[in-house]
Parts: sequence; C-alpha cells; structure tokens
Amino acid sequence: MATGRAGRAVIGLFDAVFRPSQFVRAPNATSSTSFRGSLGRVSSLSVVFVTNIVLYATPLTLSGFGVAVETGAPAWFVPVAAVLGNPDAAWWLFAGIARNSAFLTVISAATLLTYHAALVVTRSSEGFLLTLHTVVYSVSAYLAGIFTVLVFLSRAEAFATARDLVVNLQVRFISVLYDLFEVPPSQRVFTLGDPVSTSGLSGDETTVLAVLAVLVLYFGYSMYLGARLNHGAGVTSAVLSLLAVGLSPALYVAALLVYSTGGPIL
Amino acid sequence: MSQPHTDTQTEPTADRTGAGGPSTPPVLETQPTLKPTLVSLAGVVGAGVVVIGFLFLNPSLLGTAARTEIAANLVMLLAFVGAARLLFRLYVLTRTRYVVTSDAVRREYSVLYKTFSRELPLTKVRSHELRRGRVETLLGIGTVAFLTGSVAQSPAHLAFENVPDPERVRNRVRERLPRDTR
Repeated sequence: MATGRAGRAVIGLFDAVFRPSQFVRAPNATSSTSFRGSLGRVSSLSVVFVTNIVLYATPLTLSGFGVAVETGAPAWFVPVAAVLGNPDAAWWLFAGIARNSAFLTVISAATLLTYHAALVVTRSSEGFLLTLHTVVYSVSAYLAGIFTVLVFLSRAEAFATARDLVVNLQVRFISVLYDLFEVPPSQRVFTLGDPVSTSGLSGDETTVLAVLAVLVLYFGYSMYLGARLNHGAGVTSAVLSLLAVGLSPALYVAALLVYSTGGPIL
Repeated sequence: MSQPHTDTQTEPTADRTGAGGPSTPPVLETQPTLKPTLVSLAGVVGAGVVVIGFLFLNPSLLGTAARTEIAANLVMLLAFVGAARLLFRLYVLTRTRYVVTSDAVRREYSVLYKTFSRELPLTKVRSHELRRGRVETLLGIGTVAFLTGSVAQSPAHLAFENVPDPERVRNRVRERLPRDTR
C-alpha cells in the first residue's frame, strides 16, 4: 500500500515535470455524473489538495518559518491532541501549518474562481469538477513550487540580491494597485524603494530566478492544458482563461486593499 | 518485451505472445520507428545550443548580463526537460510492439515494471485509415489507425503510430477484416 502510494507520487512528480498534459488531465473527463459520483470526486480532489498543502507547509513549519505561536495549546485542543503526547508541540505544528498554507489556499481559491469564471464566460466550461481538478493539480505542484522558491529566497542570506529583486517586483505590482485605488500614502503598507540592480546577482541567484521563471511557465502552461484537454476549450478560450488566472493576484490584492482600508476608496 | 529495437517488420511463424497478450499467433509484428523522435530530439538540443550560445555571445542582449544569464538558464532548463522527455519517449518506443494476429490488432509496451496492452478484435473494427504527413512520407513511415466508430477518436481507437511500410501493415490487416469493412 505504502509502496503503491510512493510509486504514484514518483509517477506524479515525473508527469509534473515531463508530461504536464498527463498530470493535469482529468481521468474519465465528463460532467454528466451522478451527485454521489461528483461528491466522491470532490472528496478525492480535496484529499489530493490537503495532502499536497501539508507536504508543502510542514517542512516550512518544522524549519521555524511562519511560526509565531507563543502561547500554549488552547483548552479545546488539549483533549484532541492528548493522543499525540505533547499538546503544546502539536498546537505549534498545527498552527504553523495552517498559517503557512493559508496564503497558498487563498490564492488557490482566487485562481479557481477566476479560471472557472473565464471558462463559463467563454462558454467553454464542461463542469466545475474539471476546473477543480485542473486547479488542484496545477496549484499542488507548480504554485507550491513557486512559493517554495520564494520562501527559500526569503531565508537564504546568500541570495539577498535575488530576494530584493523579487520583493521589489512584488511591491511594484502592489504600488500599481495602490495608485489605481488611490490609497493615501499614510495607509500604504509597502513603499516602493530604489530599483534593484541586477548586476549584483551571483551565478546561483540567476539559476534560482530561472527556476522560478520555469515554474511560472509550467503553472501557466498547465492551466492552459487544463482548459484545452479537460474542457475541450479552443486556443482563444484557453488563453483568455489563462489571462484570468493572471488577474487572480490582482483581485486578491485588490480585495485586501478594500478590506484593509475599510471599503472602496474610489 | 525485451527485444532490441528495429525499424523492420517481422512475420513470425512461431507461437510468440506479447506481454500479457493472448496466445493467438501473430501474423505480423512491427515496432514504431525512432526517426521522428530522434529528429525532434536533435531539434530541441540544437535549438537550445544555438539560443544559449547566442545569448552568451551577446551578454547585453536583454539589457544587463545578469538578465541574459537568467534567460540562458531558463532556456537551458527547458531544453533539458524537453530532451529528457524525448529520451524517455525513445525508451518507450523501443519497448513498444504492434502486433497483428488472425483475429485482432494489439499495441503493447512494458516500461519500468508497468505493462500496457490494448487489443482491438478485428470484428470490432469499423474502418481503418492511413495517415502520412510530409515528414512521414519523407521518412517512409506512417500511422495506421483502426476505428470502432465513425469518429476518428472513438473510445476504442487504436493506432500503429510511425510504422515503417504502413501500406503493408494496413493490407495485412485488411486481408483479415470481415468483407464489409475492407
């Protein structure tokens, strides 16, 4: 059983790298299934998603990233975690994993919504389950990979220039939305600094940035393939769906801005 | 399934069976040619080398040397993935056999302890087609597809892809088809 799971994981990894079309393709792709069948597929996809999220977040948590839980386990958690031995340690791990996986989960939800909305608008959707399958597999592999590289950059001292470059890029992106929503400077959390010169990048840094770019390409390509293979969408519809996915971070940041500034400023 | 790859067809007379295949004696066995995949592999490696070489010869092409180096690394990674994928495909092709028996056509391969065998009884074949693109015509190969319905991608569709001398394969199958489907 364990060997079978390990084998499937290895094949999944192989497909993710070398055969993205096999990786994102939904088996028996059809939208006309029974309610019980749909429920079964949702639950199996949920298991895939949660497993991969935990696999992504656990190493981060164990290495101390994103863990700021100073207090002990709450009273309701103590009996739940009693079987694990130390409830405080279990709470520390549980809260850390939840914290580390929160952003990936939220951006996955945003991707799912924009991607499916684009497929529906272009009249290419063959069912929400097929979209869910595509997003779960794409996010689990490629987006988690992107975040892993970003976390690595944020913690490795030898990659300071690459980190500054990526952070600068993100702040630039957020600044565009600040300007768009006319957020007052006093309410801006991030301030755009001086441009980061790429001349200081080391060989290792350029390699990591290239890996990051490859993962972004893989993610986009897998979403494109999902539209083409699972929904049978045409090239135009698939490209439009991909553009909608590209809008997900903008929608996410925009929602955060609206929330943090207490409502639309426009 | 461990026989060495050849681009030739054989017409065995002995009772040889494939991986998991039935015991019906094959009347024709063939394998897909490696030529198109080798051409693609050469194309990927060649294009990768040319692009990377061009980027290194022009370090300021993308503004700064670091940006150009990132782009060169990106191309290198993609070329590596593409080449590895084609190498794996080559490996699968060397393990693939197309078999015609007196009552069925079969495609089978065995890779890393995984065996695949799809058989289509000749009584189920409703039509068959021969496909040859320009490159395939130049290479003397083609694809013979067997259909169970009127649409090209019917569920039980089976194709012998990139086989040498495809007309001969099709004729051998045609001889064994029920008269109304020839």
